[in-house]
Amino acid sequence: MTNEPRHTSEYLFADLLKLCIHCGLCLPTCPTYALTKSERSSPRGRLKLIRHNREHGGPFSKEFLSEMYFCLECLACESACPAGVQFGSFMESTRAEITAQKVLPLRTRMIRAAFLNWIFQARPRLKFMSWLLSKGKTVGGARIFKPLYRLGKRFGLPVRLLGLIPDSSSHTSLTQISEFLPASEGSTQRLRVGFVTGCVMDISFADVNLDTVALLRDLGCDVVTPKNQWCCGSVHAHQGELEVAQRMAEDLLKSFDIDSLDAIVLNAAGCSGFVKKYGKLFEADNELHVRASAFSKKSVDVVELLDELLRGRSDLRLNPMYQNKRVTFDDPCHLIHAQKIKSAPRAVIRSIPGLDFVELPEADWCCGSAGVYNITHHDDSMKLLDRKIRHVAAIRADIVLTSNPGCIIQLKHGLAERGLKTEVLHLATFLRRALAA
Amino acid sequence: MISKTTLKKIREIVGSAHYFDSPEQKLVYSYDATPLYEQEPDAIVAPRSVDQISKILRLANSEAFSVVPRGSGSGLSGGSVPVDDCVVLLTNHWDRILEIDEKNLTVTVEPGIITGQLQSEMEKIGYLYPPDPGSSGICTIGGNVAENAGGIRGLKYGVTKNYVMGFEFVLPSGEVMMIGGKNVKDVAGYNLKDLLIGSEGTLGVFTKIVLRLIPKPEHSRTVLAYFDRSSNSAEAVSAITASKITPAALEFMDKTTIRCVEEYAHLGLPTTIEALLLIEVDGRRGEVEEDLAAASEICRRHGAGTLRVSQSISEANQLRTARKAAFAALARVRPTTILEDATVPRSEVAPMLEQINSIAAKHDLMFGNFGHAGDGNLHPTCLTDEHDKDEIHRTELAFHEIYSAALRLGGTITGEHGIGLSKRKFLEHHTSSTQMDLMRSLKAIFDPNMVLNPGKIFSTRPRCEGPLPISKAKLNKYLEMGAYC
Repeated sequence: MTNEPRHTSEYLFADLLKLCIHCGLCLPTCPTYALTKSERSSPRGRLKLIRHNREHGGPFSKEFLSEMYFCLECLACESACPAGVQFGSFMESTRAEITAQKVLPLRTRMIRAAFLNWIFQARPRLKFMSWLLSKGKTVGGARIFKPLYRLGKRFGLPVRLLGLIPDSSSHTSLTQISEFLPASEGSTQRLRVGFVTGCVMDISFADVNLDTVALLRDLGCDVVTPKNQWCCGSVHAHQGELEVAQRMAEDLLKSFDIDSLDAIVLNAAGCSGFVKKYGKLFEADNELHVRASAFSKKSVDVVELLDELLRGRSDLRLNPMYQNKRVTFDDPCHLIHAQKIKSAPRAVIRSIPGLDFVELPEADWCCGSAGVYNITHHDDSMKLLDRKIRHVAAIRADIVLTSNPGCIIQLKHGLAERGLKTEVLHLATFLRRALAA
Repeated sequence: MISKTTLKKIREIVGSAHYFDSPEQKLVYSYDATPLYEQEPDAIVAPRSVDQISKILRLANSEAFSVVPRGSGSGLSGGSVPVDDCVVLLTNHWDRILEIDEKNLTVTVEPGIITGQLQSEMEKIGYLYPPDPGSSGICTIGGNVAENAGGIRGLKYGVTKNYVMGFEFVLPSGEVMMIGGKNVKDVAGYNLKDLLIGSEGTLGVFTKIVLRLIPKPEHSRTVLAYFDRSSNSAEAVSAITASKITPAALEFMDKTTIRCVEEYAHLGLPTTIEALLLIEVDGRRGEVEEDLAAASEICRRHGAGTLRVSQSISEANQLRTARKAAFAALARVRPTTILEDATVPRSEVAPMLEQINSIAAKHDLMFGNFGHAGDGNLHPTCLTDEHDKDEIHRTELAFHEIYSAALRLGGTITGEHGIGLSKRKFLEHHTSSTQMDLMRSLKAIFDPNMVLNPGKIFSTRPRCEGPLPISKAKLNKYLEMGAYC
């Protein structure tokens, strides 16, 4: 017998599931366990349910299904697990299995199909939807759309969630970003990067995309933004629609000339985390595997790249408007837990002199946004949001920074509900504004 | 199987909202953190009052079923693993701090409060609750008292029993009783308090606990000492003890453990060294710096190549957290991880480690060793595969030899995890029959019908204990076990 420890990557999937020795160290980090104190709503409990189902087969029970979707997939348990159990991959494959077996209620499946397989499939559809919903938020709009809401309510559509709807930008970011933009004059050019505009980011956060590109150029990057790109598929994969996700991924892979780029930048943590797994999405026997792996290898979250670009720079000056502002960073789960990026955003913020950076207690806890969780599990999501907002209020932050669209929407909603004046900004937008020319 | 009518009565006591018996619920309460043991209960209850617990236990006596108390299920000897015909009784939702008494330096809590939460709440107001088990982030105080949990501060501050001043509990008969209180001294009659502490949920269910606090030390520092030879590190431990320094923690990790912990925590630990010691000293500032310097010097004299002094509180916390995760981190290596806690007088740590290594080599087994070197409480952890019958058999033989070795050195078979299910055989084997009989008699006095966590610490013997089985299946099972003949 060899006395050399094996690396977890050498295990097969079934073996990996057995790595869980049910020690329970994940329990205190799980938001749904904190809400319920119920073992089945803990990572350890869920893994037991999944494992039992894998080993014994049988239909998915109602309780099983509700537990699998009660999970936020924030992956805090993965960060906590000393044994290195990859909870996320088990949850994703279980959800994929649930989708394949068509066991969810018809209504749920129809709504999901409408969103994931139709609206999210093409830019104009999502844009129209976004426009429609954001119009509905206005006073005038509310009157016009009232009959529609009532109709929606009858079918159980979540119309009470208007506060969570992002504004629709008048133009998508892609129409405003040229295919090639050289680094700003005077910057020392170092990198040629590709930029993924995304779906929700492109339509509802066009400004953040523009800020990201401008910032990267100022910091010495040539930015290549292919015109024929769309969603990366992460929304679909997280909901268990792996085949659709693969189709979306395939399109994105083809729109980038990977070899000509030093890095491919994404500014939504959910997406950067997902594209980094493209190599696994297309397994070794797939013809796209090599290309997908190359794409994954070059993918970086904008936070990582900013950290690299700003490291060691002593010439940064703060825009006086932000002098002594108290800022904090709320970690998107898909940044800190899925990608284990923790120090980068803090280093970036600290590299700017004159800011009052304060750590947010439980910054690594999920805010309850979690993709569409604030729609599908509204009440639980709001409890988690409340916990988050209480911490923000306690440290009296002027600005909360984060780097994922879902988190921005959720935090804004929570702060508005509480009547707090704290601003929520994407890290890229903040840097663009806070760094004096 | 508990009969449907009985289950209905149980349900009526706690109310349907706090009663669970779906297949999913039974599945997720079939285990705790102990490897190799699991069994599904017949039902799970989350009582909301002492009265409900009392009623459930009375019912258990009249209708012949068992009750297994469970906090967070992080125990390592199977204390909260279900047994035949049982309901699991949850206490983890009772998690309030009831009273902080600064004049008496006590805190009164409900049993379900998480140890780590209690600690951080107390530290906020300048107090320390010292017992610090590896699972402090999730284990409950109720479970800690039931198991008399130890942890990494045992050397200087002792274990859970040193901080329990009294408690309210429900006897297996259903009667409610208060033992102890806020008195520093109390010798009224037998010391029943210490009998209940560490009784592994077999003698009573704790419902309210009074704990002792101490003022939080002003200052603390942590240093890591890296050794190229394992035996050198053990000698350094003895030398530190002999030099009259009492660190708050004096922890040992071997090469395999260091590698696993590093893979998990990314602390920059060197993976080529043979052993490391984590030394934490606390107290008044000057005293801390002196002790730190002295301990460092001793390590250096015993061959420590590098000393890494933590620069901040957060770094020290990271190191301590990583050490506490050592057991689970070892699970990366092989499918089954069996953690034990053979313990010896602290002077015998070096020979004990040597014995463990030679026993492991003899049986061709892979071990990760770590533990509370300062108090002699080691955690030889076998990295094995439960599907390999031969290897599991060798594991069992090896542990028998390890326990024998520990006892020869004046030690014990378990320092802090308890006997539960997993060490019953070893207890029976390594303890005199008089002592075993005395323990069994005590259990019979508290719980004549064997309703509370039966089969833990020692197996129930159907021949002379407990009620006669009602069902035919059970009768046959007992007959197979050789009963009644």
